[in-house]
Amino acid sequence: MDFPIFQLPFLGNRLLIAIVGIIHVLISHGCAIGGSLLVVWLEHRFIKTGDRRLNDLAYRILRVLIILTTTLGALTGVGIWFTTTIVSPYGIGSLLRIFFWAWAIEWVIFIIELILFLLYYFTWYRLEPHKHIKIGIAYIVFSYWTMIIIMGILGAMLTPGRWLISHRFWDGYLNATFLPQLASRTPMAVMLSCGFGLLISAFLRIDKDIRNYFHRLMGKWLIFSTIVFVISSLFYYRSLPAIPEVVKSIAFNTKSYEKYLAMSKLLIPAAGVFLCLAGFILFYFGSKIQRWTLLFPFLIMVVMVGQYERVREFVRKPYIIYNYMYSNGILVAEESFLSKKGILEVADWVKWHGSKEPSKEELGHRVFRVECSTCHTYQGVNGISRKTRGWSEETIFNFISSYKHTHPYMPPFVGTPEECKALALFLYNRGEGK
Amino acid sequence: MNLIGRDILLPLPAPLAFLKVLLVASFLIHIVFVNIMLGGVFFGVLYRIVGRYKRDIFYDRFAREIVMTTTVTKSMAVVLGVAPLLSISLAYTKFFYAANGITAPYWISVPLIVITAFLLLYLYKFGWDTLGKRFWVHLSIGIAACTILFFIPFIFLTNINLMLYPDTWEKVSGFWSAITLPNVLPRYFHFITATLAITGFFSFFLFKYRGRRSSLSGNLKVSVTPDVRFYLRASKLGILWALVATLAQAIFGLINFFTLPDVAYSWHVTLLVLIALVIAGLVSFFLFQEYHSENSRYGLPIFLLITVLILIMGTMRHVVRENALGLPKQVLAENTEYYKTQLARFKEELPVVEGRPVTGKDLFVTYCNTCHAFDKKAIGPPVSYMREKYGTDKNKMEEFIENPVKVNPEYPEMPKLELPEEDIRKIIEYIYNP
Repeated sequence: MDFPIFQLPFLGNRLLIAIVGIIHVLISHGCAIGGSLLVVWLEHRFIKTGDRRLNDLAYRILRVLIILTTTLGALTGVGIWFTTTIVSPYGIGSLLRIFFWAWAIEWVIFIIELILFLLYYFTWYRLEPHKHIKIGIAYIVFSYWTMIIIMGILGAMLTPGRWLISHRFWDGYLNATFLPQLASRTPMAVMLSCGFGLLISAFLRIDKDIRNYFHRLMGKWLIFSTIVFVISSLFYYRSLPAIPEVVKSIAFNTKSYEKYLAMSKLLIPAAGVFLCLAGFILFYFGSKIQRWTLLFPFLIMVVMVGQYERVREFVRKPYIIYNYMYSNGILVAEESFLSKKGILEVADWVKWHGSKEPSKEELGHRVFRVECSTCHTYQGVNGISRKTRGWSEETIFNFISSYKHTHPYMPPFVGTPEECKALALFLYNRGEGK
Repeated sequence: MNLIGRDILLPLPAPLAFLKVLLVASFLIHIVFVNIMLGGVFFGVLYRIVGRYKRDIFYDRFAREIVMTTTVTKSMAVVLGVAPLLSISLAYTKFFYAANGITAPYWISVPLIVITAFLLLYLYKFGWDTLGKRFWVHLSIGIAACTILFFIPFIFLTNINLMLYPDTWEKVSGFWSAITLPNVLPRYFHFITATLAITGFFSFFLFKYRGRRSSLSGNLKVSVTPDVRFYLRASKLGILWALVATLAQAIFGLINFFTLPDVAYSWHVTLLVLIALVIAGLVSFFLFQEYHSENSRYGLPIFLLITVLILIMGTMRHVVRENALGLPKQVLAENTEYYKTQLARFKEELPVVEGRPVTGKDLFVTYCNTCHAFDKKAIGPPVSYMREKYGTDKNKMEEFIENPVKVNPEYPEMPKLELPEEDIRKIIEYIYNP
């Protein structure tokens, strides 16, 4: 609230982060972690069988993986820093202060991972295969290590547990969702590597019997990893924070929350069934499959992963850091203080280039920008103009004053009654068909 | 300095001095890789053109060999950039985040722009043989990548400059107005000359090393193979660039120094500039000698001197940053302290936490008033309508409140209330006898 406010038109800030985040998950899980496993396995098969064509296939896949990871993968990873700095400076600034050391260690591991990756790529065909594959194995270890590190941080945002009281690093890091999430993202990485492997192979010209072998291999991997992923993600869902009992007594377990979880619980197994089916087809038909159909498993996975991440984000609502900071950057501890003092008193940047004597509506707009614009646009995705269709100014005012009891997935309104009135006026004037 | 506001309320994860050392050190390593990558792309495009017009195969090979190194250097540049990004985010949170917020659309686009440039660069590199037959197509891809990559430093330099001068924040309206602040353009050109100089050094060392390797592995009877001749000439070209760019850098360094705003200035800066000029003179001397000598002899002193030179420049930037932010940091600390005391005092004075609402009226106001008014439509239907609908059947009403379903298409679905039965009855009593 005390930083310049950025509003991405139409798509909204929320979707921006989601897009950057999901691309990063797809590439980092599928190309780096799962992909390293796939390529090293193919090289291993080459060493066992002596079939050079397997070695060539592995190298050609690796070459695409290197392009994807060093452009889309790496830059969306850094991109998360760039976007969150703008969208949620208080959130990312606080997380950085809590988990700096985890990120610092991850950075060191990541540099080693990259060096091993480049070494693995550049020494292909140059080193003795049995020596070369050792670099590949080291690369797998280090890329998986980065995932282990980042899981603690992601988990802590959902279930900070004792950190809320102690503010100690390890209390936050070793949280309740750390292991369940790691256990479900590991098979996800293998599953995604099949998606990418098949997608890449669709563009390569490969000998028929090698393609046959590759399809059957991917079929096996796909079935196995999908089953493990679906089961482990259901366990992971069970470790997610339910609305805590304390909040329950004053709030309502809203229907949309339940629907969301239910839908997702259905979507992931349903997609899982499809992928298993695809795995069987690949296994039994091998190279007889049309190349363009190899795109489908990947597309299904994109939907699946998108939903998986969406649930994680949804469960965290209305917080960035569960029970500590709301998604608009206001601290739980500041809530009543700022309601007394007035949110606009402490939000200097909304006055930036604004009028010196703002109208009431303009004040309402400022409140909107500070408190609501992290998730809501004007007329685009999650736009406010449609949300208030048919509501009178008074209805809007009543809603804002007390929705924290009935709609707990939104951060509570923070501000004085005057600010609430101004916001109601602003929303009313922006509303569709007022 | 009205927009400085307050800092993030969590403590830093490491001593400030540590973060600053990490910032300066990791930034220098990062920027050297950035320099070599940028310069590598520039040479890779420039000498492709030169080679075509001079009809000299040397230049094309030079361009090709240098551009191929960017596969490694660009990835290293990105990964090594994370540590300075995180340490500056911690050591100067408020200033850095605010500056990024002011230029938000550009800052957020950085990852996307870099991805585009890197993909073009891959196309340029991997297309050297295949696309190379269509010279202009291939070249324009290279030029596009190069142009984009040379634009990116503008965004970083603008922000890093903007964060130092909070008194300008009120006047600046965004990226393009921030770019015109004094010192941005001189810094950019200083950076570009540094890029050319460092890439010159890099080419010198790289080709010297490759030349030695090929002369060792080559046929000993023929003392000068074409390879050795190429590498000798290439390393000389590197020296020439290093020499010219070092001299140019001294000039731009001085311009940079003289356009420094007063607040950033102290005698330390002058001293460091003078030392840097002396070292640059020494480097130029050795480069000149090396250029004219038959056997390479000055590699080590050149390497050591430029290392010192780079360290001095990093230190100088840090001194400038600390000078400029001296006062703003005090203001920030005072603001934060004031905010903390206010917050603490408010908590002390806060009356005993309000209990949960007890009476039917209070329960209604808390949980129902969000959507329902008494005698007119709000988000949901009016209370009068409910009384009519249920008549005397209070049990039916209770059932509905416990498990709401969508009835009227005019209204949104009611959220599920998880209130104790007793409270629901009180609310119903109130609805019938307000």
